[in-house]
Amino acid sequence: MLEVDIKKRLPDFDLEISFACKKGELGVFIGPSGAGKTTLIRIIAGLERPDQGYIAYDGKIWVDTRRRIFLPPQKRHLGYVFQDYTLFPHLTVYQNVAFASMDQGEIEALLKFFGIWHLRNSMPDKISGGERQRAAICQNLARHPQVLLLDEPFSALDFPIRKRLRQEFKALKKNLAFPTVYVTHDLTEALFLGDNVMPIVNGRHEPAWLSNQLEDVMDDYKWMGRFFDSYVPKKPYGYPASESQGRR
Amino acid sequence: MDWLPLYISAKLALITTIILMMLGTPAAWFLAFTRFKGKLLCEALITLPLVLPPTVLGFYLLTIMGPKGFLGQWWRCLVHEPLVFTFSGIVFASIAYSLPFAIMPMKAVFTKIDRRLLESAFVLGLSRTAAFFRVVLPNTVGGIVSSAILVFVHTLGEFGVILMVGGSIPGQTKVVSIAIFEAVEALRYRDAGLMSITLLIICYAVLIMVNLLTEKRQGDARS
Repeated sequence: MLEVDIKKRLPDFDLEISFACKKGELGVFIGPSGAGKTTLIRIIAGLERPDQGYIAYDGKIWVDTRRRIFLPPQKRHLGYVFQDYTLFPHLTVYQNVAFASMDQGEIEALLKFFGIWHLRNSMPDKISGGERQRAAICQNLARHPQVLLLDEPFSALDFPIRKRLRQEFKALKKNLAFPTVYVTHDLTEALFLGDNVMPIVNGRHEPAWLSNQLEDVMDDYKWMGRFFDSYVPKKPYGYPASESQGRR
Repeated sequence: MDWLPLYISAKLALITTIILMMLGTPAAWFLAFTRFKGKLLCEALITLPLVLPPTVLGFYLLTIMGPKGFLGQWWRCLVHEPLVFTFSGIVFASIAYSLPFAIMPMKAVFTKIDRRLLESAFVLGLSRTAAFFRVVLPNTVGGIVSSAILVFVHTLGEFGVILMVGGSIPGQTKVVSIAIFEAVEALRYRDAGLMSITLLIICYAVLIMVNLLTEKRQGDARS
């Protein structure tokens, strides 16, 4: 189990978060931009230090400010998928995935699962954003991380690709035996993927934010419902007939 | 025509380039990614040879490399030979003179590298050294080679500093630029012209190489 209880002073507010994430569980932090989500995930990764607090995984202390313990990222054995593509530009897709794993069979299986096996010899700048993010996920999974961290991994992608990747990740999630911490500002993504959705505003847990957002969405849907009622039968906007009829 | 000065210049340029690349790469890496007190002063000191008249730099080098200077005394203890007016002496002088050409371009290249690539490498378990060799170096090799070429060509054309520290001893410290100067003084214009055109062709070819590398790098960055 991953246990986090940290404090860090940021320019506009203090980040104060405590949570636990069990093996196989996907904890989602959702909140507006600038809420401290990325800082939190960077602290868990060891790329930033908290001012106070501790982080432990399965009883092993990664950070304890009182005892001056700080385990560098290299020793935490993590997977970290960044917001925008951080594949190594001088390596092919295959070499990127093999960067931290030598198990060829597993690399092949992962690339096939994400449908990018045919791109294994391509350079990262020759493939699309969605394919790069798939490769980045494969790269991090191939090393069997103790904890997987994802920082808005699909936010830079177009909606249809985002939706597809979300579904692929949900399918994959069942097989993940380690805690996953996922950061997003996308409500649908959070509710679709998360086992435990934790809203965060100005560096603190803010459960009310989620219900406010849900109410906003409900208002939107009420308005959109009227739109669909009057227009979908004439022009289905790319929805399959059965799906668009089902929505009416 | 005597080709020995050209050989001495090429040998000096090659040795200086190799030493400066070995010393300059970690120094540039350190300057690019570390903050410390006095960094500004340190960088200004490294850049000083760019703006300082070569004779001034040569004078101070002569002072510290001479029999009473600390570098000269240390060298004498080490190899029982003087440092000034020897080939080793002009290597030391060239290193000091070309230092900014090695460090500053490399520092610029290292600064431009996406920090997230490094962070990604750390998270994937690579130490700082391993990340340098497996991630930074392959992505900055063009910049490093450009800086090595600049050092080489800059050393090839050295005059003032070499004259101050090494004099003009044939086969030891008489480099091509000094040979050209002496040929002109002795009214041997044909020799001076031949050596000059050789140097000009080498420098021009090298600069074309640097431009090609820079263009390739910019093309890679755009794609």
